Amino acid sequence: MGWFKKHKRAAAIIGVCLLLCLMTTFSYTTAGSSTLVGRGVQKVTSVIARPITQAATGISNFFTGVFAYDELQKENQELRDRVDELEAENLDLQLTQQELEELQGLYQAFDFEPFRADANAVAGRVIELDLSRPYVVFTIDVGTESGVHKDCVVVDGNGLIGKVTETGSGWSKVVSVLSDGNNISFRVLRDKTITGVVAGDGETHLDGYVIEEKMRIIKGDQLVTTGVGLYPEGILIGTVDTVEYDDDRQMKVITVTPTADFDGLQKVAVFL
Amino acid sequence: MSLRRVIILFAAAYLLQLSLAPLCAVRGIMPGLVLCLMMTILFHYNGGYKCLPVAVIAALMLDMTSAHYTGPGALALLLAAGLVYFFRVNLNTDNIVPMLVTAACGTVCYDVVYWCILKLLGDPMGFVYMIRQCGGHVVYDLAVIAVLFLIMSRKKPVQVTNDEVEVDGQGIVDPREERWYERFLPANWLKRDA
Repeated sequence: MGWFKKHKRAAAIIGVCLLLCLMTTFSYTTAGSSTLVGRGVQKVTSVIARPITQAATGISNFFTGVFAYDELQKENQELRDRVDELEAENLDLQLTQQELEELQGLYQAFDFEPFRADANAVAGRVIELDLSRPYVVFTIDVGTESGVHKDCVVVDGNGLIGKVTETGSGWSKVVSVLSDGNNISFRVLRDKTITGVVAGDGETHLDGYVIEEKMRIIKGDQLVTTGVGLYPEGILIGTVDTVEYDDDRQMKVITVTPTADFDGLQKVAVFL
Repeated sequence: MSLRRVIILFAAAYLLQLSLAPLCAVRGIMPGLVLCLMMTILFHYNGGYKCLPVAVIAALMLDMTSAHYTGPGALALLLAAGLVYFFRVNLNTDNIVPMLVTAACGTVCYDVVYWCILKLLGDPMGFVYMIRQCGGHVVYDLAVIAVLFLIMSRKKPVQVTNDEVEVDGQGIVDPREERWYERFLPANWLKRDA
């Protein structure tokens, strides 16, 4: 006790460190759920940060537009040329019966529950990102007032993003599939009989395995959710990057690059 | 630096960290404004350690709002602060080079401690990936700290310790040899010499 009285500053720092350790442990045991104070801070912050984010995004987009003017003009011209080409092709296009069946099959593959007309979804804007772990945790500006609840599935225009872990009025915290610890059941879009399981590696990819090792999965195959577990059927997960046979585990292991654009994440859709 | 100013600065850093910093992100890497501000004040000002409670609260709020768990960020920031304070005792606090070296070490310390805590909590992030991210953080943080340091150097007030005087940009002057500075100081600071 004498030492603590003599070194009050050091004692205070040690005390704060211990307190923070306790807070971390508590946060871990409650699976990251916020306390009343945390929810209050989150609510106030989202109210203050939202207009700042919107203004900053507007300014950023303006300058991006100004500096990328030549590039945009070039892209515009290319798109015009492409439209002309497609219009010409469209005039000559004749679908054979086989092509029609193939397209119908593809349509069914993409016709997963969340994107049907009667599905309930809300759009959200990313307002806060975790500094130390890119692509892992972020906050969006929709919450309980829009019907968002825990475990809602979040996607962007390209594919699966993650799930809502916590929500309040005007905000929801999302943990991406790259690090949420959940196993995701998948099937290959090219061949529905090939199934397996992937999970985030905590970085930028998903790792997993194919259930039946004899199934022929190849690099470039696109994976979609099967509907088993949390995620609805048919959401695009990613593209197979590597396929290897693991002798120790005696199974075919794969690495998957997510199709979702985590790097430029600004808007997402939440399925209620 | 007054407590009021410290609170305003950290509140601004906290809000900008959440709103503006993500727009400056390159491959997901963005500057840690609260960490940068804490390291600059701690290193540059005598008594800069007084900003630590405010910095820890700001880091806790960041954890609450944008991270999965509450606490690891604040704990990592506190340990990084300890490292910065250790460096400042032995280095020239008015020169930008020691400041940048200290800031680089502080950022690495922060990232490594944060990663260790998350690893203990079961996060799958690999060490190599963390180190790669850390490199980006160091570059970004040094750029921010260089700007902060230059701004704060210009506005740094005259600081008096027991037996020496530090005048902005003039280095340390021994008051027993030099008395010309007295005209810049409040009278009650000079009672010792009277």
